[in-house]
Amino acid sequence: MKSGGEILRTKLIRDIRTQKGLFIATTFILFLGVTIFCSFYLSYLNLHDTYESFYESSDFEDISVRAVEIRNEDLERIKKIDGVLEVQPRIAVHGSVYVNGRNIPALVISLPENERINRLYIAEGEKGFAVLKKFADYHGLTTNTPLVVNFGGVKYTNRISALVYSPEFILIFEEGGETFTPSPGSYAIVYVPEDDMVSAGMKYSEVKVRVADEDKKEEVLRKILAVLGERVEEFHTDETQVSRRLLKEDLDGFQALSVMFPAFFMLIAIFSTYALLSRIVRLQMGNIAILRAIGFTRKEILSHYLHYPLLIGFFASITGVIAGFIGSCILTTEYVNFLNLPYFVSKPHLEIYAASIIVGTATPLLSGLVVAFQASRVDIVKALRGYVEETFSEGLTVKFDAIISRILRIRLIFRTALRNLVRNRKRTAISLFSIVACTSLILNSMVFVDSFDYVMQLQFGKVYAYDIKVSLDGYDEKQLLEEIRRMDGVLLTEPLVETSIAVEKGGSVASTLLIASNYQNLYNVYNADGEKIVPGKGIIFSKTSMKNLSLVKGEKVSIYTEFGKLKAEVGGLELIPLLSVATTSLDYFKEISGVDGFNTIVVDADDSRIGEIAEKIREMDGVRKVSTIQEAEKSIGELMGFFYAFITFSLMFGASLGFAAIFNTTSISVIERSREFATLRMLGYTPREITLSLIFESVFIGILGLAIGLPVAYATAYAFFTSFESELYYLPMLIFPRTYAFTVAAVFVVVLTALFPSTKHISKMDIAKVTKEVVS
Amino acid sequence: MIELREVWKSYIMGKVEVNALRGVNLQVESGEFVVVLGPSGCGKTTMLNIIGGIDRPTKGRVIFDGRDITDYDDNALTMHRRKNVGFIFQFFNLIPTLTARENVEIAADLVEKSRDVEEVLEVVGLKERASHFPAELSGGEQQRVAIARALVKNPPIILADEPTGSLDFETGKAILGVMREINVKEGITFILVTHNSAIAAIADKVVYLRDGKVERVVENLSPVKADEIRW
Ligand SMILES: Nc1ncnc2c1ncn2[C@@H]1O[C@H](COP(=O)(O)OP(=O)(O)OP(=O)(O)O)[C@@H](O)[C@H]1O
Ligand SMILES: [Mg+2]
Repeated sequence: MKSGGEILRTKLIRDIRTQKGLFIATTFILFLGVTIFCSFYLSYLNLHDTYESFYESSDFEDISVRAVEIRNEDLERIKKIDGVLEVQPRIAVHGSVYVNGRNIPALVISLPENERINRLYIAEGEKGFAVLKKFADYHGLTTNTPLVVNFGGVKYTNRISALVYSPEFILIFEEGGETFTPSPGSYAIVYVPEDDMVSAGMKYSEVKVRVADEDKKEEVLRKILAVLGERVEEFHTDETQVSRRLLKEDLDGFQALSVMFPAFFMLIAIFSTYALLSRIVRLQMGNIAILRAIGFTRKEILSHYLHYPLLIGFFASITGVIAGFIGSCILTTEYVNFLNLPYFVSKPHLEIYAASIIVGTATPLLSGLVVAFQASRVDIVKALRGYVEETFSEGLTVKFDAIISRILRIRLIFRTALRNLVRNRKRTAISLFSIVACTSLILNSMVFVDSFDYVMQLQFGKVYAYDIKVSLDGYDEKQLLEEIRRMDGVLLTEPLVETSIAVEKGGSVASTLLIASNYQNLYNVYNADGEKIVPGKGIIFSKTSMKNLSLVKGEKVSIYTEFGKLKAEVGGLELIPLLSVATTSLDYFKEISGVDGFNTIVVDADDSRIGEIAEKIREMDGVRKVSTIQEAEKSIGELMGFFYAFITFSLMFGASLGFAAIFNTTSISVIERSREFATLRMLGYTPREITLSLIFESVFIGILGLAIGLPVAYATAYAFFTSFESELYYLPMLIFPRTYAFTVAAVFVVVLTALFPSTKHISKMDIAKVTKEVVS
Repeated sequence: MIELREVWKSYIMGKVEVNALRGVNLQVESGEFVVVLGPSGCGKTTMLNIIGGIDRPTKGRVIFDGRDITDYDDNALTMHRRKNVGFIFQFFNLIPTLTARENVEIAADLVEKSRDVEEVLEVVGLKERASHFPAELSGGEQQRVAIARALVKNPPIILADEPTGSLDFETGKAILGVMREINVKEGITFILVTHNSAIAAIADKVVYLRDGKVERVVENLSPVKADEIRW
């Protein structure tokens, strides 16, 4: 004979088996939540550990200063500053590498005999003439390949000795580039042995410093700046180094995402479990009463009903953790491949698995506890009289319904659909909440796509109105401008200055790219509202990049430039999308720097001849770099692949969440009303008519859910989006009408497909059987 | 108007075959009030469901008004129910979100020439309580709603499965009275299924069912009024 416990266990398994779909859907939601949390958080930790380890092991710079020239006596004085641990001077100049028949702009850096700071990680080969591993892979270069590098008027030829990674360039950021982070196809970092560069007549232009005490960093920096005085062009600390800062912002966003995203799922999981369990308990009131009547204790009943959420939670957590681990491996690998990292650190992080399992089990248990407690408190006498149909009485609903039906003149069967929304308010609330969550997830993903699309359209449609940008070696190339202007197929040319500057005010410093131009046609700066900015006197700065300086229009500030420290007036502050450039007129630039010239030429050319013209210009003397908008667009496309994969991934999760949650509530509602549907079938209503009424109900819920969901989604998207704000770039938030349309369509697709299994239930229903049952 | 010819109904339960009906033959004339009697499990409900077109026989033929409905597909059976059949169940099967009147209306909605809802409610004596929801009505009142719902479509036949089963004696008698009255006044055919032999006294024809077979059929030449029976 079976014991009481065994019978309950058999009952448990049978219950789960009869409600398979619902249990699977609930478990699935929870599983998604655990999976996302686990994979995201583990990836976050992996990346964090990887960055830290790389920075640590390579002795990353604490301070970096670039100056017009750094002399040996400067270095001696810097070494003597209190708190300085290591000092390493180096040469860093813009140049180019000749690869596969093409000159690619490059940053050429000297490699000292004895590396003390920012030590390179050698992936292949031996220390010596080196290029970044990713660059080599992209162009099919290996060690021993001969390579020609142009810098400072010298043509340097050597065989590649090493393929390397550098902590400075985990993420490469090219100031003034049209693409956000340049692809290896358009930008190179090359290391040339220091002796070779010195013998070519190059002088130190940067000094890297490590300090003994982190707290003294600012103080040391100030002293170094004092040593170099007016010659300083640029400086930063380890925290403000652009690449590292971008990585950190990205990582912080990742961490926030890995908590916020799954929290959504957990919330829905709580509601879903609640809906599922309370339905089971409601249907089993009679059974519970009988069990209690024959002698099962309250505790036994409580524990019996707790087994359901426990089972759901346990199963979801275990599978979720496994999937999460696999997900974290994929995610970390993808990320690391996307960046310039030699390896990745993956520690076991048992605490994350434990946390996932605890949260994953506790979440359903929480709602399960409420329901199981109700079950254990059942009034035996009442419940034994049989389950009574829940009451439905006149109230707001009927009045509301009367108004609706007067307006729409809808058939009674459709009105029952409306009344059902009020009949089971909890269920309606859960459905609405699910739609709101689904809408939010979709919109939260799409807001990035739209905003990015918008700035890209602005950037490539209006800002970069040129076809070719020519960066020059110096500022004295009027001849070159004439030559280009006269070239066949060139329609229009415009000279401009493009140079990076750092602004200082009250001890804080912020760097930016300065564009000086007379703004005729080809290079325009727009603010976030899409208005063209035409500077007159002074420099117009971007609010984003100057956030910490609280600049005031009209004041004079110090700026560090390639011509040393200068004074300039703040001509205004604007929100400038994307790369947050500062802008001024060529005349004002000349006024503050004394330089009468330009270092960049933008060209509008005959569309069919852009490539050919760019090639010709590349061959000219005095040209450092030629980039075309076509190439930039192409490499942005490559960059976006990763981004879109991520968005698609989160859209899919949003849709599956919505589907699982709405499937649950819909199925519950249909199963609960089986008798009603059977009765309608008995009366002669066709399955089609009943299905239509259900669709009507779902559509109505969908409309109601969207009415609440869209504003809520907008608000959460806004909060989410602004939490990603950075000083390095500015993305105005935007949602296109087509995205709203897409969201609305997606919600209806989800709502209606979630209904589909239920409609099958109706057409297959055994009317004879259902109408015969006393509700059990 | 109804004819069952050698109707079989078998259920396969795992390896066991249960024969709920084993060759039922039955003939019901238009306007008759038929009571089907038999012990629990003899196949009464099954037979009624087959007549009403919510179930299908495994073997045999079902003829309704000269048309063989045995091979009707689901859609045709639905249309058959819509036009020809009114159902009354032991458990009233009202729609809880609709008022008494609306429960009748939802049936009226299905046919072109339905009867007047108010009139039907008056026939079953429920005019005053028409705007109440099922939960606010007593069992007897709910069963009256169910009768009104069957009646409103103006079907030639009404099938009632233990309509007094969940009612007390007095209420049960009243409900039977209403049904018989409708039968007499409007000529609607009734087939009423019960295991309560006392009810047989009001019928024109009594069908005794046992083990899935018609045991005998007795014509009652002098049926009594519903309020005269006792059980
Ligand atoms: N869906 C089913 N599956 C298997 N067997 C069934 C099914 N429905 C009915 N039966 C069996 O068919 C037989 C007849 O059932 P039916 O419901 O017609 O009896 P009944 O005469 O109406 O009984 P009662 O007076 O108790 O309502 C019974 O033995 C029953 O167990
Ligand atoms: Mg029966």
